[in-house]
Amino acid sequence: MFKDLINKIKSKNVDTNIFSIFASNFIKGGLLLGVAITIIELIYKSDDLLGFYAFLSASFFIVQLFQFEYVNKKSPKSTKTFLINSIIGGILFVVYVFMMYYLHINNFSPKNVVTVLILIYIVFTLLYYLLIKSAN
Amino acid sequence: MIKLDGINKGELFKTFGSNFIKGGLLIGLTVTIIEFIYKSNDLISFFAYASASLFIVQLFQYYYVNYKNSKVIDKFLFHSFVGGSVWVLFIIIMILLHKYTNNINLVVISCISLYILGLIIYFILLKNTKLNQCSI
Repeated sequence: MFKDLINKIKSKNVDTNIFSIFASNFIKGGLLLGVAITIIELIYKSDDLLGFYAFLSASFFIVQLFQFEYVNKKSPKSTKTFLINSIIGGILFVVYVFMMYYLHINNFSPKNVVTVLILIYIVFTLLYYLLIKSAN
Repeated sequence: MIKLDGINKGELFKTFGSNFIKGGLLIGLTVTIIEFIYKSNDLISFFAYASASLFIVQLFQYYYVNYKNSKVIDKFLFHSFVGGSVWVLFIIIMILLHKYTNNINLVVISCISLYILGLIIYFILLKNTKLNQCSI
């Protein structure tokens, strides 16, 4: 499975200037998330804004928005596919939060909730990859 | 409006620095991965799904909130659920704007504006209604 993935990556005409792309996006991403999370940190530590903090972090779709812009710039044909799969991923995010709640009310310890959900996330992600691979 | 009592302001720079590195790595790596895979339709689908469903950050926040103050965890879960649902709504808005305007700058600017507006409205609702009392 992963051999296929690596071969696919190798077979593409990858931009040789990949380091400068990474460096440029490191600065942009660092500033964006650095400022945003520092603001969140301020809000979170204040007394009564926990609900707002939870809403803000769960609805933080700015990263996906910039990925969309980049995909559209590099390969406009893939944009629709990117958006449809983003919706599916977003719905799964809500399902995961629901699972978090379900495990929590059924007296799973926080450590177990984290472990179980990380495993579920990895399994679902692998299954999705296999599903996409078999569909193409 | 926002209570900042109890915040060690000297630590703000440290928080920003730490999140600058994390955010830079997150965005830098994701955009660099897109650079590798944007020509492959099935890999871009998988990437969109994986990044949209990445709820691991929310999971660790749950663990942290539970560790600090377990009494407010139901409230945190409720507002995470609302935030996740709004995230999906934003992607749908992004698709509609992309389909009907086909102007990438307009889509990005509109979505960022809507996101900020949504946050302000949610904040006002939390302050002025009983939404702040809601928990799952």
